[in-house]
Amino acid sequence: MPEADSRQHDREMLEQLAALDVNSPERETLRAALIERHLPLVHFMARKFMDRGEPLDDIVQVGTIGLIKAIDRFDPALGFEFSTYATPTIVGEIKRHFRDKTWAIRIPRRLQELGVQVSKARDELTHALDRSPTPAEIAKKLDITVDDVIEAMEANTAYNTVSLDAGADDEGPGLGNTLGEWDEALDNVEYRESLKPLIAAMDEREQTILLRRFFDNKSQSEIATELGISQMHVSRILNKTLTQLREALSASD
Amino acid sequence: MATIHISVPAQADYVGLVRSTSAHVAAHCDLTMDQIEDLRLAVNEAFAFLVDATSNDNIDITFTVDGSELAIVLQGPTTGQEPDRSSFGWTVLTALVNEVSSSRNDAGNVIVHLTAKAGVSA
Repeated sequence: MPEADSRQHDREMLEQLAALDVNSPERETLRAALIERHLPLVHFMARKFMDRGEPLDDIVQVGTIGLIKAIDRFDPALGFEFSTYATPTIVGEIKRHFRDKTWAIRIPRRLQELGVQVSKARDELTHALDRSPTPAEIAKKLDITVDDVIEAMEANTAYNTVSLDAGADDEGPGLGNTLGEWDEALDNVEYRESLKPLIAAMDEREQTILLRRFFDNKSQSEIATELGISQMHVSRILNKTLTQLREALSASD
Repeated sequence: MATIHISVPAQADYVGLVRSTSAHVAAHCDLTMDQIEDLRLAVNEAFAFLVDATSNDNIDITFTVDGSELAIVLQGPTTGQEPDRSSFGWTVLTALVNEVSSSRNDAGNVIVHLTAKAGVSA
């Protein structure tokens, strides 16, 4: 099938999908066909992340989740090409996988385990006390020192910081690298934009977390409970989005 | 009352060191884990205001622990601009700590003050 015809076919299928009732069996078949048709796109994107030490199959799998999300969220009425819409969604899902599931630097095993224990104690104490605990309270519960608690906290964050940088460049994930890009952006006058489009470009979860934290003034733990994810995860996402916003905004100073 | 001073080059590379130090100091101050996380973000933002890649000056950071209150004063290079109160970074700062202010001293250094209080949410 020539490419233009194939695109036209995609468009028709997506329009049909959008028109069908959510529960209709026809929709399920159409959706499955659309997913299958676009698997090569997922494979293509996944291969770009191959040299990062994760099995290709895993990357394809998370990429496929991105594809499914893209199919479910795509609105043909907006007039965009589906592939334009799907590509960032797939890549986003793959990057999230790298951010959440892989350790960018080797944290000593002892610290990794301590980190898990501290996170767990923190969640338990948050429920028990109905507020965020102090490091001293966590230290007492786990029978470790306050310094250990802080060290574990740091270790949990180190994972985040480095993997963020690794996202910018998989070869040299140094902070200097990130700064290099930042300088380039400084020259880029087109970055003179207000916050709105930056926030609009974030995914829904990032937007929700920013909103809850800074407009509804909820604590990280409260947001974590609301979204059914760990506080540590909320912290990572906040760190990430703030860094992104700051960098994008510094460019427009 | 305890006072801790650190001084680092006004380069973004050192923000991690300052952030970590803040967390360690805050842990001795009865702040909750949530407050400490917030404080780390706040210090990050404040430090970002003062970073000046072209400057040879240092950023001097003073932590003052007084009972359940932690005050952090960051003194940046004289070349810096005072933070813009209408900027996103400033809005974030005010949401993260109990008190925040900025000023310029007689020598011309830009100074950002942050205060976090135990038992009082920001």
